[in-house]
Amino acid sequence: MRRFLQRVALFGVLIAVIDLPFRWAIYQLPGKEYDVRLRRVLNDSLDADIVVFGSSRGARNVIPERLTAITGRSAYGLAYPGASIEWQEFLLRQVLLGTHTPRTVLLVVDDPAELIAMPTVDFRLDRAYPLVAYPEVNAEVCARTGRSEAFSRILAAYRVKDSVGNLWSPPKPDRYDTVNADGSMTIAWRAEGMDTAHFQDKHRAYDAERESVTLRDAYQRFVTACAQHHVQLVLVHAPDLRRPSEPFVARMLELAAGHATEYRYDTTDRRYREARYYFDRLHLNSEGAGIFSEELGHYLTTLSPPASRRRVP
Amino acid sequence: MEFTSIPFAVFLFGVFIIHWVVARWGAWAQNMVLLAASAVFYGLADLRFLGLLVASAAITFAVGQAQGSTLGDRGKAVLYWIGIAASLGMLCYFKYLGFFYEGVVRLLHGTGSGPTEGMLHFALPLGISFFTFSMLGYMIAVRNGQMEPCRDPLHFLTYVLYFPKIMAGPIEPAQRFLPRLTAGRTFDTALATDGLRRILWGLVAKVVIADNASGFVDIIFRDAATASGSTLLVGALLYFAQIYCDFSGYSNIAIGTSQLFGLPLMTNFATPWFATSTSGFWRRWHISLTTWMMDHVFTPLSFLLREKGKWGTLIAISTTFMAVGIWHGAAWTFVVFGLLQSIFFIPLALKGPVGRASEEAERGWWPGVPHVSRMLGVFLLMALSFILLRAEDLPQAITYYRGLCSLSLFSLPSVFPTTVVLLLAGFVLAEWLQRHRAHALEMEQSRLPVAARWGIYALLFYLVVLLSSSGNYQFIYFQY
Repeated sequence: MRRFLQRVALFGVLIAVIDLPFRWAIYQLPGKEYDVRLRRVLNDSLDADIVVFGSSRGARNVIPERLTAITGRSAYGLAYPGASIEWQEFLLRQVLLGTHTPRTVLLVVDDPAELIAMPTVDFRLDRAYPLVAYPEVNAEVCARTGRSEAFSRILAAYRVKDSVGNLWSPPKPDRYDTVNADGSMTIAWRAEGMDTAHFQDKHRAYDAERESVTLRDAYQRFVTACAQHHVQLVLVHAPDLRRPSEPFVARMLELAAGHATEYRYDTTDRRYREARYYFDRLHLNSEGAGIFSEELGHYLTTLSPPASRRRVP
Repeated sequence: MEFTSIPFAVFLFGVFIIHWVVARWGAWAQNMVLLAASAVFYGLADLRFLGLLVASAAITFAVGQAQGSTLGDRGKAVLYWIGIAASLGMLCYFKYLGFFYEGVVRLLHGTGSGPTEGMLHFALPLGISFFTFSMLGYMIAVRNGQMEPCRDPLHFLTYVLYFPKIMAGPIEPAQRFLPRLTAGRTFDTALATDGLRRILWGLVAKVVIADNASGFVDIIFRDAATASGSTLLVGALLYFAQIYCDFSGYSNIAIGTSQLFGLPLMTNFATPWFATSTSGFWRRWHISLTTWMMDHVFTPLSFLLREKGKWGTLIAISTTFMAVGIWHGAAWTFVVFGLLQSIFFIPLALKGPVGRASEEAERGWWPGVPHVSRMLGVFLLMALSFILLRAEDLPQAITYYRGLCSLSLFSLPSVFPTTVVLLLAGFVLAEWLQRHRAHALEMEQSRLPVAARWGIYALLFYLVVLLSSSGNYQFIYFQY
């Protein structure tokens, strides 16, 4: 039996030796990322007073640079296209772990699908995989994919298996994925078919029965985390060629239980009814985003933010 | 605790060490370790039915004891049939009662289909088909005098509960396994090393191929109504690959695990894809089940119907395959699957004895064209029939077959998983090269230098690590 165990141990040594390049890869992969936002958060180098969260509506419709210009407060965009509220809650947790806690968080909500499971919106594992060098990201990836966290610590290959290909073929941003310096991902042109798009001025119903418990829980964790860290939370309803769904707005506020304020775009502004300010039916183009960001910035100046930024030693 | 999970690896290592540490106190101590480990393993998977399993084993043990006692013949027979009825009754209650009830209700309402609300649905004890057949086999073997009844209830319980095989077999014959269990076991380095190799090959089949094929199969079967014929053909072939890699992978892990304890289990698969006839296929596919069916259904029936000549053989074959089909589960798809397999057998039965003569694998490195064409024919036939095992119900299966028969069969498939196909090609090549050995990684007699062998093991290890797909993919046969 001793001989058998010796052979097994020797094979273990062989595996450990082969694993060394993967261990090296772990620390090279973050540098191959074109989107440095999450890395900035994890490195605790994000020092913004206002942080924008959301999915593509947050990324395309809000220009933090404009918010900074109007409010005089630093703003940064952490909205990811296709990101669910679970991903946003994970991001917020990482932001709040840092030493620079923002005073205001803008959560740009998907009306009316924020809490409804959709195939197009998910936890952005693809953005997390290359950053598994960070223990908090690795823990989240393991929890979500059912992997063994302990094994991922032992074997680097297991840890980087989903992103190791990025080493020789780093992902390149296409014209939809270009991240601006302020963290926004605005689009300057209009999608096909937008010439015939019109504003829909009808009231829309909202069915809370369709809500996903997982997404609802994540949203409530998001709200609670803001409240616990004395961060002012604003639920932003951005323009999308439709009137905001009143029952949805009410539902989001109800779930926030008094820990959030709501801001909806100025529905009397006729420009939001013109297709030329939109990339597609759900997203503004950069011109429209500029208009909306200015409007949002002015609204933020009317708010009285928490007295001082809490700095965690 | 899945065989492919890290907790299982830790569990296995712990049990392995304790099992061999207590070896100095004899087989009884070793078996107690295995029994405790098996109870923990099954309890973690499904604690609700652990009691039922123990009670069922107790009844079987008592029936076996009665057969070896001084009880009269009539008393022994009565107890034997009570034991058989109890085991089959338990299986029918959990697995088939809902199905029959549903059939009766629909018959009474005069509808072939419709809502199933209010129907009977029972939670199925994990591995029920496997451990029930093991216990039935034991009672029959004792009754027929093929073995002495087991005298130690704890040894017997270890046989029934033994964790490498409890979930999905192999259905190990008691007369083969119990004597090994009760005899003292010393550590066999060659056997244990081969066990590890077997586990590795099982992991490659399950994690690298079956799990990665699973997503594509799910998509194709879900969209069967709208998919093109060529896509459906890809789906059927891929599912056949998935189920083989899944179940043979499981079996190799189970057998390899058992070898670590010095208890080799019977082979469950012998490269069935290289069979050149349907009878050959069934001699190589799920061998422990087909052996059981052959011994306990086909042979007695053939004997009973021996005066009816070929008709008797046909009836015996049909009944056996119907039993094989229904063994998989309570659904019409399984019934039709069994029926179809028996139809495949009819030409063979009419031609002559269902023997092994036609199943002579070529010894050469590369087979001849006739051999390859026969293999491909059997492969295709089986892949098409296995659609029934994957379809949710008969209407879905019919939709699938209808789609396959359309002209779109000659179009380009909309789904074609190139990586999975390439991996599969490598897998098939390895199985072909090693087809005369117990498994593809059996290298004890190989002329390859040690460094090359270790290189292969390390490569496969890393394939498993790097290509394992995220998500929890249970073994397909756990549902049976």
